[in-house]
Amino acid sequence: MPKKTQKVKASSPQARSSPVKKRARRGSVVAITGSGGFLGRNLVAVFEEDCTISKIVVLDLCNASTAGPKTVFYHVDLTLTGVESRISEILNAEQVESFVHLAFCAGPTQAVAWAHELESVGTMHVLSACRQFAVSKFITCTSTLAYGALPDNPNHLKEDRKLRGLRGAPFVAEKLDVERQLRRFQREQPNTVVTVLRMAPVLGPSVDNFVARWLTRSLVPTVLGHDPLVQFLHEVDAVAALRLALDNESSAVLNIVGRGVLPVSTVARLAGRVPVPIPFSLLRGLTSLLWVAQLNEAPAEFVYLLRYLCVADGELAARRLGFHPAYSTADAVLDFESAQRMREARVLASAQ
Amino acid sequence: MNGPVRGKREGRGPRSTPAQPDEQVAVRKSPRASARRRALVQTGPTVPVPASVEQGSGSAQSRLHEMQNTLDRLVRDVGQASVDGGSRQRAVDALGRIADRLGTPMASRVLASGGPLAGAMSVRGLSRRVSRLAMRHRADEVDEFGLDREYEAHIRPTIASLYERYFRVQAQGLHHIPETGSALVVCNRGGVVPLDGVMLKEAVARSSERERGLRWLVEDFTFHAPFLGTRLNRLGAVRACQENAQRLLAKEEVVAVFPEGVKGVSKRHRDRYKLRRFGRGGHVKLALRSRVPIIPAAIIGPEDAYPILQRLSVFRGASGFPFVPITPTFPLLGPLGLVPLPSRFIILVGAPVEGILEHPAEAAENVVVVNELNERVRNSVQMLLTQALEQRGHNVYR
Repeated sequence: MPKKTQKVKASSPQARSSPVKKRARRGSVVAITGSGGFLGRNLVAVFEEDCTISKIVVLDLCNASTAGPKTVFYHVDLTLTGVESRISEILNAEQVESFVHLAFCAGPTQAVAWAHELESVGTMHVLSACRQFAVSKFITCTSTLAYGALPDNPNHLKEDRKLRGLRGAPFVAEKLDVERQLRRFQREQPNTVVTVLRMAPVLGPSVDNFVARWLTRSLVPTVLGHDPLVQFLHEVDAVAALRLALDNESSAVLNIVGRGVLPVSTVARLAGRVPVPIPFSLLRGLTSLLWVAQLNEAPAEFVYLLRYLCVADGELAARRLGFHPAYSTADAVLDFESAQRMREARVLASAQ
Repeated sequence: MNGPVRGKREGRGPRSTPAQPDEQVAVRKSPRASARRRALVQTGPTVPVPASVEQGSGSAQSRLHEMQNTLDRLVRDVGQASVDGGSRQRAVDALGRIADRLGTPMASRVLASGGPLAGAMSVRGLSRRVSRLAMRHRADEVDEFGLDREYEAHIRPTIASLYERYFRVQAQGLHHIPETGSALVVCNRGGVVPLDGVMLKEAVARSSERERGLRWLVEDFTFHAPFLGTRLNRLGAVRACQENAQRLLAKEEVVAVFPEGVKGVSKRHRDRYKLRRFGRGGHVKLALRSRVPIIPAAIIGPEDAYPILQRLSVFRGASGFPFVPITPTFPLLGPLGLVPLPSRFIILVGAPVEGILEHPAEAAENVVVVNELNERVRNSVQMLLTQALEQRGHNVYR
């Protein structure tokens, strides 16, 4: 009989409240939504190989591509009404201990109404299910873009700073709503450990989001006369932070960011692109037009990220979670660039 | 598991991701790839792809085993002395494909060795070379507030010639700034363009043996000014706010603040060198909380470099600038009017203001104490200003 891992300590909530669980399981049970996205499917892969987790309950429209023997799949559509009773039934049936909620859009989308249903209303359903069946831990990810790219931002935004959103961009407004709901949930459910990870934009060899698409062009648009500092989180560090958050024992809101910052023009140049400075109003207008025509990776409000600072401080995550990013912002950009180069080689090779 | 993440993720990499995003990217890129194919000149023969490298059926283990065997064979082929063009080409292609899956830099060396792929990459290669060229005066990394050491070193000769020949700066009392440890230098502000910060930085670097760097706080409208704000940031200027200043002082840097702020910049020429209100004592609160000495300093010269005859507030909202200065040269000569007049600069640094650190850190919340200390600092700076004006006399531009 393998010895009990340190996951279920004598002082932890699950040990106190349900001795039945301690006897029946050798590892913990984790429920995960949003397993189709980048973070979700990589996290499922990590859980598959983690011996302290005995079962992964995937709640999604289709099973994760990285699902393995530990995964149990339930078809759940978060945009339907009445789904919270179904979720709480599943949580009860599987005796889920930790809930990882990753059912969010990875980047801005034109389908604003559907995104609102999925992110805001879906989170509402998930949280009411977690109220009915009290889970021990609730982990979710939002974005550091919620702080907003505003002229009066200091160089290191701390977690207690008021979230002001990105000039009303729907993508970021949804994250603000989710954070609001989670604060209320944490107040009302003191026994659940709520961990909110505010992640910097993720960049890396395989992730495909609005940052990667912005850097894919040979001529990268920037704002004329401005060159703010930006930070990225490497995709490996993002998944690692989620895994660490599962071991967190007290509720916290944490910034998860890569090491160091870089100016926007340096990012473009390290990625082997040529930055093209465009006057701000013109760039905003062009972005808006291209976004409406579904040719662009982000709406006009995101141009403010190329003009003003939005850099968060990751010191609290290092202290509370033990999260030390292995990659810096420059590493993430270089990794992305070398993967792009390999892909181009592959495409050109297959063309011959 | 609760420790740092580094040890755990040694053999790292999200396991199954290469399959999915590669397909997505290949699908997404195919229209561009076909366009590029048409535009490029093929310099080598088209060769069939070795079947063993393609997506095989079976488990990941067997595929990995297959790939390893293929890799061995290919390396053997390439290494053979009597290798002909066809099989070498096959080897290069296949190695490129494998390297792509493994994400190793080996492929770039293989591709650089020649063949049709190398020619095909020329467009991308050109943009990469241009990027590298543009980075020649800039460092690949900046510190957390944006200071770029290589850019600073690159621009140092220009600043030094401005310091010595154009403004003929005379700096005295810089021994009051400590060699190590943090300090807060409080200075008067003048001149539209922040020449005072740049010249003070140069003076501090010259006076200390190890070329101590100065970080100075600029107002919002300067920091967010197009072109200028970025250049200043790379030289060490930081946006003025309590959090930034506290963090800099915690990092043992010398920080210069200009409490007059925008009011100091917008003084008319006839009011030059009359100190305005020193803000609400933010610098005093900073010193009390961070337990650093306040060193008063006075700079004369910037206000004569840009004699503001009048200021217009009409364009305030649109451009983000609080006012538009009217100098003898500015709107008349256009952008050339922003060149500063060659006034003589004098920098006087005084002894640390007494009695600040006698108060505890909690005194920062006490408005009476803060106002009293603020007045004391202002008087010190005013005395230094008077002294500097006497020293300069009438040689304003000579």
